[in-house]
Amino acid sequence: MNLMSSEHIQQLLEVGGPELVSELISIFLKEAPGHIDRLRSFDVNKHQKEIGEFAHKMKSSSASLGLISMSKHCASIEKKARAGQTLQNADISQILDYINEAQNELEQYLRKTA
Amino acid sequence: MTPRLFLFETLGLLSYLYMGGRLKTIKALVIDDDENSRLMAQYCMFQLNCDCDTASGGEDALALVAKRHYDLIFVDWNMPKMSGRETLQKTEDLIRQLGRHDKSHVVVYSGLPMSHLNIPQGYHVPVSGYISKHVSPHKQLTAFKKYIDLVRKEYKEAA
Repeated sequence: MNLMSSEHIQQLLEVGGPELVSELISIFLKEAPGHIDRLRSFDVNKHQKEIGEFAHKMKSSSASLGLISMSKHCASIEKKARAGQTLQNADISQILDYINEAQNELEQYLRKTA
Repeated sequence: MTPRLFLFETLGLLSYLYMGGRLKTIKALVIDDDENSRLMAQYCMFQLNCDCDTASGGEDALALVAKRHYDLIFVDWNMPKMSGRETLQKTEDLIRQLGRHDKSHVVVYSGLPMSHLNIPQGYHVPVSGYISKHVSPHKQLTAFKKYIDLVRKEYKEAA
């Protein structure tokens, strides 16, 4: 899986240089463990609203780094939660998979560009 | 502060001094609980030679607004402690209480589509526009530039 959009990263580099990219990645990596714990604490039957809010935040965080498919998945969860549709455990586990994959890719990017 | 941000700030100051103060420096405030979004907006502001402060929520923003006037306020609408709407209401109250008559342009900077936001009209700080966080960095920079240019045009016309 290749989550990061190279075009998005290129544009970030043009707007703010490597510092902006590495700062955005650092924020994501710093927040990831807390996000994973939070996701694991959710019960899809009880925390519909909280999951929707969480998905909204993750949608923005992932979009800012060009993690397009992750952002789209979070947007769909947010939409379902807002519409009061029933969420599934798979919806949450997929966000977890995305976060784990994103962590690996972002760490790899930092190593390559260090 | 990263070396690049330091460089942007220094260049902004130097260009201001070079112009003998004839070019008014535009002061912007970015209010957003999301650190990534604040950072993105801040880098765009520096690219556009603006003096930019950031606040992670409404309370911090009010403390900054009490101290100085901002030409532009970019505000997230969906914040946990104090929403964008409440922040604007309190900003309006604060400016009145302080007896100030300065006006700011307010631009909503949000991850939600404009149609999902309930933006009130008739504020002392009128909402001038909207920027989506979910567009490419180039498009965000262009969108920020549009509002900076609007303020620059107003200053030019008033001069």
